[in-house]
Amino acid sequence: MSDILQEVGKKLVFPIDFQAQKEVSKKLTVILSVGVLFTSIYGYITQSLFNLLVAYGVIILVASLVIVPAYPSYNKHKLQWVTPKVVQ
Amino acid sequence: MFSLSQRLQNVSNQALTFSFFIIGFIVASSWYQLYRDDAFNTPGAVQALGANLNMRTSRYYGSNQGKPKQNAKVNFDLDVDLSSLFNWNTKQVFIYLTAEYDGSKKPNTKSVVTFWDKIITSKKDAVLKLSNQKSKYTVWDLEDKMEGRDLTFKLQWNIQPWVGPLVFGETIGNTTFTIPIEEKKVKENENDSNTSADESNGTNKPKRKKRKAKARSNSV
Repeated sequence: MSDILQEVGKKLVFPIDFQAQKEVSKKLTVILSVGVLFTSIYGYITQSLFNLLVAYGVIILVASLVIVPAYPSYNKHKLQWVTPKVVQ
Repeated sequence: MFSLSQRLQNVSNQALTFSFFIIGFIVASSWYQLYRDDAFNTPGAVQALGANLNMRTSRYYGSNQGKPKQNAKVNFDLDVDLSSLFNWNTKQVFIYLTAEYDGSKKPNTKSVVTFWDKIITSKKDAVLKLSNQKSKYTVWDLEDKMEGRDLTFKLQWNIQPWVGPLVFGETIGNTTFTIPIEEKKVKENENDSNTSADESNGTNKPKRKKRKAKARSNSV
């Protein structure tokens, strides 16, 4: 049973490369800080806490859609391993 | 940020962290709105019309070992507009009419009692115009009698917000009111044994009207 779980876990890693990791964490901060500003102003203008919560929920959804999946564009910079040389 | 679960955790953590900024903004903006709408200077006109005194022998009304305790209720007029307390962060407003008075045997003691309260849940109901409203609670003192006390009435409010700490305040304008001293001392001796029966009796209603209420109002 645990072997099967390990197999499944290995398939669910969905790694991204180093450069994409840096970009993604920057993106997350930008999306959330802009989102906080937007939701605060939107909630204040409409004078409704419910609108604010909904807007923030949408922002979180957008952030997770951008960041969580391992898009192919996040795996363009594969590590170049040193090719093994055969010493003669 | 390497794996799927790490990215998911990062997103949720950072979303939670940033939500504290939103909370701070909500609290700060609602306080700003309270000051902008001048909520702390709301004029409130309380006018006490009369007092209703009863001797109670139940221990639920402050009586100790069968010794009767004088209970007081007041009638009052209230005219106040509390709509400035309502903004986007107000869940409900609790208003309470308090009276402050000195002890008669110990004049340096101060007591504060609540005669009446109300919960307002929407801005529509925030304009209050009550006339001859009977107080909700019957009040007794540690000392035996309430009569002859000088009460200073204040309408206090308490905002219960959706987010953030409670906000307390009171309306501008106090009203002083002296509870009139009971005049029928002679009758009290006759009815000593059946005071509790007397107070529920409707026959002494006309006599209550004779007690003159001396209300002087300093309200703005």
